[in-house]
Amino acid sequence: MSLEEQQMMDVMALVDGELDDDARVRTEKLVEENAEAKELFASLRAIGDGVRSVHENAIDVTSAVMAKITPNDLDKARIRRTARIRMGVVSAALVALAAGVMFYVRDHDNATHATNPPADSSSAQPALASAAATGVQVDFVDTPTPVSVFYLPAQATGGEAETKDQPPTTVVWVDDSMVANPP
Amino acid sequence: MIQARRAFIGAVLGAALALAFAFFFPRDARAQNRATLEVMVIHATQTPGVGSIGPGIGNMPQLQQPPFSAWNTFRLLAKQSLTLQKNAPMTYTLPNGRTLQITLEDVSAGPRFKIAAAINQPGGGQYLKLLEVTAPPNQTFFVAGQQYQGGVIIIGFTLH
Repeated sequence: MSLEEQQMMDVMALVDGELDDDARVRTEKLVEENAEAKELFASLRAIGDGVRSVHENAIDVTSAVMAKITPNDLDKARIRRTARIRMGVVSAALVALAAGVMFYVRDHDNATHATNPPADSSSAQPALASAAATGVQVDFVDTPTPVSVFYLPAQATGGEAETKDQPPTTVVWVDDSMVANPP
Repeated sequence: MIQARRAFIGAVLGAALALAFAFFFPRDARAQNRATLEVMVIHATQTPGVGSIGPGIGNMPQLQQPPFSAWNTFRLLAKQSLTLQKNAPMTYTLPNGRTLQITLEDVSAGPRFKIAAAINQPGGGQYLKLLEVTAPPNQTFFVAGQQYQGGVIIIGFTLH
């Protein structure tokens, strides 16, 4: 007994899973009882499995290619970029730190070399003059007796060139004659 | 990747060198908390004749300039080397009985030594701060004027 066209369509729909419950039950019964329907169902399912297999293999090949080629290149580029960024950040931080230390040292030295004003005391006497930058600097004088600060020019002891490089000699003269010999 | 690593190492070394330069260039000053102070006490008087500069004073042309030139005879009374520790006062007894107190207050880059001098009151009273001086090494400066035996005392300070 050959299958009718509608039965063949039902078998094909069963393979594709497109039947409603009643038609599916009726067609499954047909496939079980009818050898021709059973053979058709097996053939159609084998074809369907083959098509699905080919489709899945195609996806695996693509994934394998992507895994072996493209992701590696992307990884390399990403690693290089990350390394460059990291190097730049670390270098900038270290240079900034070094610059900060250098500026701190310079500012500290300038503050130390700056002439300090005399203390806020009625008996404090300011330094009368400032020696050369490399010479002795009188920062503060505080005495009840008269004070004078002298800066003696360097005198040649080994040639004229030597005196140009020598800073003046600082003399703080504390005149305590009034204390030692009161009137 | 190797180039990036080399560049990274180079950058780190360069920055480390910059740091080392910044830290260790002024190390001579920053690391020092001490100084050696040479104290020379000279008695200046006026004597008939051309006068003299006593042995031990050495070549000191400043004594021939004002205000020292008001005297013509210079005699070395004492010479001593003191080791100063930062913020630790050292005392030195002057020939006139008064005591000089020297304190190393700071050592800055250069180096430059900042010292404070105080002197006690006649009779051994409390110390009165006299002056603060910032001096480079090997640059002698003088504190003078105290009356002593018909002349004056000249104290020469040299820091190392």
